[in-house]
Amino acid sequence: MMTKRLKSLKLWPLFVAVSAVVILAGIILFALFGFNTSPEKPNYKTFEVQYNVVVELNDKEEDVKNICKDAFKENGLSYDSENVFEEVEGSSKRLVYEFKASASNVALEKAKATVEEKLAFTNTEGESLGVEKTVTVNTIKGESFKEAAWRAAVAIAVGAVVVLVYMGFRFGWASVLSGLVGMVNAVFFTLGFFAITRIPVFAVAPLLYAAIAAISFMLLWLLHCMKMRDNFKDPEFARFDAGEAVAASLNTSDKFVYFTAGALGIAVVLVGVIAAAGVRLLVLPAIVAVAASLYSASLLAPSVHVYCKRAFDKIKKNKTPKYNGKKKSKGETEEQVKD
Amino acid sequence: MGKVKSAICIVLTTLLIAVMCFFCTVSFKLNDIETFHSTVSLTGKDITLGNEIDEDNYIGGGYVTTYYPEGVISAKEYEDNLAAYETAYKEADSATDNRDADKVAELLKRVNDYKAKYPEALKRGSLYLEKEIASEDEGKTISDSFKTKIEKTFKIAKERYEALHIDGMKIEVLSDYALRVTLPQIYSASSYAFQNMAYMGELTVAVGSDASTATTIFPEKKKDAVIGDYLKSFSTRTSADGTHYVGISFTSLGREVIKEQTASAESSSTTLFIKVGDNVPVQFSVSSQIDQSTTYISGSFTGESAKATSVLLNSALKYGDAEDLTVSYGDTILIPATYGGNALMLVYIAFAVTIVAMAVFFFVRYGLLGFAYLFTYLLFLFSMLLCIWAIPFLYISVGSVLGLLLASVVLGISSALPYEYARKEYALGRTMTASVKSAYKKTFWHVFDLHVVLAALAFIIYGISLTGLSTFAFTFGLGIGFSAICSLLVGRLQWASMMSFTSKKGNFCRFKREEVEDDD
Repeated sequence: MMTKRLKSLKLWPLFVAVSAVVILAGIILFALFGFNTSPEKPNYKTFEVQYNVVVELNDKEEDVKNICKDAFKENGLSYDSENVFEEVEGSSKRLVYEFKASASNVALEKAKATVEEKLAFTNTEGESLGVEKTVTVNTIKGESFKEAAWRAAVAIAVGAVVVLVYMGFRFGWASVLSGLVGMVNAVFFTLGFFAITRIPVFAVAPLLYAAIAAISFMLLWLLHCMKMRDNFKDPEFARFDAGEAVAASLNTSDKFVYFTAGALGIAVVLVGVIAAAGVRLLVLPAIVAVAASLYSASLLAPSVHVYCKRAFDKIKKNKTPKYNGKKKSKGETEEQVKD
Repeated sequence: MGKVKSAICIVLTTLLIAVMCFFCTVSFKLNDIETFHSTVSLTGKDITLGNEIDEDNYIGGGYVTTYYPEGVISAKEYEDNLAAYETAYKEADSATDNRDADKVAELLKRVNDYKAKYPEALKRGSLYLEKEIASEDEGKTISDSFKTKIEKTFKIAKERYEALHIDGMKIEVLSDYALRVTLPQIYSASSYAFQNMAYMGELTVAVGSDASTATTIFPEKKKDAVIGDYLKSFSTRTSADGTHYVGISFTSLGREVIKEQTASAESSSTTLFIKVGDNVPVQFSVSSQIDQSTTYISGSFTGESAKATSVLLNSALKYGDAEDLTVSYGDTILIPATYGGNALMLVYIAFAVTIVAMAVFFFVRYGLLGFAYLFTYLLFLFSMLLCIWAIPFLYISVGSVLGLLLASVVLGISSALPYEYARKEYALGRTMTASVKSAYKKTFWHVFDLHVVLAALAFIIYGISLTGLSTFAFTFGLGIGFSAICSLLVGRLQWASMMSFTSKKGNFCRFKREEVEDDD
């Protein structure tokens, strides 16, 4: 009986092709360009004004900001952020404007000269207030760390192997093989997606998404496996071939799996949408990990599971000793045994 | 469960939730001076988030300092020094009485010498480079040898900080010749690390009463002797009583030499100085002969400062050289949450909305049984918040919030699983008590397997990975632990106690009997 679910399982070449394309393209693009970690600001420029407490005491902090902004405007510069930082010891403050790495050095130097000239506050009598200031323009290059990345990759791999071994004992080794394929696909599909689409992410984020993909795949795949374990004990399922059995079992667990993936997705989207920009940038792309794990757990892994189950059922069948009738004793004829 | 027992159970649970909620979320002024702070406000925040707990105290954000290698100074230092020279010259030059022409000439020479010492051609962004150190062609260009030394200095500093494994730590190269390091406030040894990581140069060990006059014992004054002949490595250890130690592992030659040098330590106290360049990061008095392959030094180390010390000494052992550039560090500045001042509040709001959405789902699908889920979830949430506050290495970050969020979804799923089984059993005509019993019996191993697998995955990732990912994984793993207890024990108890007050149990849970068509 060819159900809709069984038809979907027969589309495994399509799933494998889609996954292969995404993963291979992802690997190539990652090797060429890496992930788009622009939110990490690997290169940028700063315009910094360090001033003493006199500015604050005379309520001139807003004036300093306005002088800087006017200078930027005059020179056609636009900044990404404005922050005021305090010294831990001492009373100086630092007004820092961040610019893109492409901001013109000439324009920044001109703005610097303008600010230096205008930042000389006087009182009503025209006497200097004694403002001490240092205006600087800096180029900043961020450094990346490799250890965190490779250890995260090892952690996910080791974790996956250990839980799959546990699964092997609890749900059978066919579930492990299909689970392994599914988990590898979920993790690499997620990473490949970010490498291909060049969605801006923080440096630590891709491996966090990979971990989320591994965890959510495990969760979804376990829900399928639990149902399969229960269903396959039912004598009615014994009549089915591997494909029909898996499809019939998936029909009973799909709803709950979609509900679980939906709950994960809604939670991620809700937090991502409501939270501040930085948090959103980190949380919202995790929806890709949830989607990849749903694809893996509902389409790819079950398709693989059909073949794994068939192979393991065959092995089991071959191992089970067959009853070929009562053994004949010496000198006994065929008819005698029948009698 | 009887009605009396159920009432007691509900009252106690409600009180427990109220108390936990109060301690976790409510802050108020006790009097003009003292304030009671909620545990959530007191919990550490990573560099991206932060909250003010009063006018003077801020939790979250971090600290930034800049390292200037030898021969490099900041624009502020240059301008301050130059201004001081120029002021002295102008004052001497403009003196109306007793103008000393020689002194004026000397002060003018000082101004010009200072300008020549830091020529404009070597200026890089906000940095001034010293001609004598950075150039070999009278200050026209920066020499390759200086660039190589700078590269080595940056490599050493970067490796040291990376080895500290601090979440949110950032290293940036400032105008090619200085290093800007950002450490989160949750890292309690930041000032210690800022100071110690600046120590560059050869690692030596000396014995004596004073650091400046102490006799160097490692390496010995003989041809081709290097520090690696005497010392293997440095490590850290924490004893059962919580004391932190830095361990020094000697080679066999090092052990022999130290044994000989400390032979008279019992009669006359000796001090051992471990130096990096001219700095002494570790010194300790020896009161008995050292004759072990590894000696542990206690002191006023915290876990983090002990680790920073061992990282510094290992780095100096590996790379230290007498020719290394010395490094100084500038002013430290305080940076607030990098995601913005309201980021934490928005995270709380987003989390609250998600919880409400989940609760609404349970109320819509399971009617008043939603209260059982809500009570279970609140116990789970406040227990988690108290754990995050109490466990020293946990803090509030986007990673830990994600971990908590995923664990909340798992709790929701593992609560819904028996509810759905019970719905089916009830629909088939069984009594509610029998349906609940059967549902929990059937789903016990499902929920158990789910939690074992997820907890194992989470704790393995926590054990191997570093920084942000490990925080996410630990919080998720902890949440899975609580989720197991809550869904298998607390949830069932809540269901039983809440349902005992109603006679229409099916309506209470919005469960319906399956309609059977009557043939007659």
